[in-house]
Amino acid sequence: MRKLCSLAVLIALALSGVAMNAAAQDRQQRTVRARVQAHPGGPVEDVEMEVHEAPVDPKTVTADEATLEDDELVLGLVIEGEPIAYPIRYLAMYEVVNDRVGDTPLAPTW
Amino acid sequence: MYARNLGGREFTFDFASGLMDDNLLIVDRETDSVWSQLAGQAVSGQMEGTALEAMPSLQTTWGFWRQQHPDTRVMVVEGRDGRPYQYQDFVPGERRSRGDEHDTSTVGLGLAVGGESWFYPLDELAKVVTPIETTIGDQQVTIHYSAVGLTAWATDESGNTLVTVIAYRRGWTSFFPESNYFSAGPLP
Repeated sequence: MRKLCSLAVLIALALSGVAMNAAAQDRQQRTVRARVQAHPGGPVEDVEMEVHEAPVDPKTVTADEATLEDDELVLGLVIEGEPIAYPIRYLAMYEVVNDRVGDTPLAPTW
Repeated sequence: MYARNLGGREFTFDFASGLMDDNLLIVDRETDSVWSQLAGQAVSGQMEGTALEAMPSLQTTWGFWRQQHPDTRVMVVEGRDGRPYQYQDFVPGERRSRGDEHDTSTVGLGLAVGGESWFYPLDELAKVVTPIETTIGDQQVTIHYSAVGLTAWATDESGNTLVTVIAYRRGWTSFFPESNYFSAGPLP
């Protein structure tokens, strides 16, 4: 009986794993249709846009642990007394990041 | 920089391949609405017409930010270093000619207060004594400038940092065609 139970748990875990992967893949590959420009300077038209996944709850390190160059650009913010810096080198990869500082859900954009 | 909650709902954003007004678009996972990344406003979908709250942030050099906030946290992406994003040889106040829209001599501080919009080129701020006390749309505003930080920012009369953006003049103008432009004027 115990074996059956653990088998059921394993199958459930495997299935939820499949479901999570499918959801993650859906996000990576999804498209959204909207009246926008397909390229800079282009006309506003019906476009099937590719949508790419942006980071959620990114990892952060201390200033001493960071390996940035002094003259590179960051987007900084102090919220609820907590300073945080988003290096433009990362924001430029994703355009947007989903973070949370204290109780505030934040979306730094570039 | 936005707070990504609105009317008690929280949104998670991805980025899209299309543009609006030549600005990049983001898409929320909850409703698939399409938002302008620059304006923080939904331009298509269920949330169309609503806007996220902008948060005061500072675009500056890592060296300046770290000096101002030694206890800062820093975002990292493991496994992807990217390439450091720097202005090329940008020394505000010194003449260069690069001749394109990304000419760093046209970088400045943009702010909109009480229906009035202003653009302060860093080149012009480098010529005057800062901070500058001024009045914009009935509000007292102080404009700060840092040569080390390659940046400028604005505070209100209580010292709170205002929502501003560091932008190329061309980008600011396309968004605020009626903008005023700060000039240091002829040198004495």
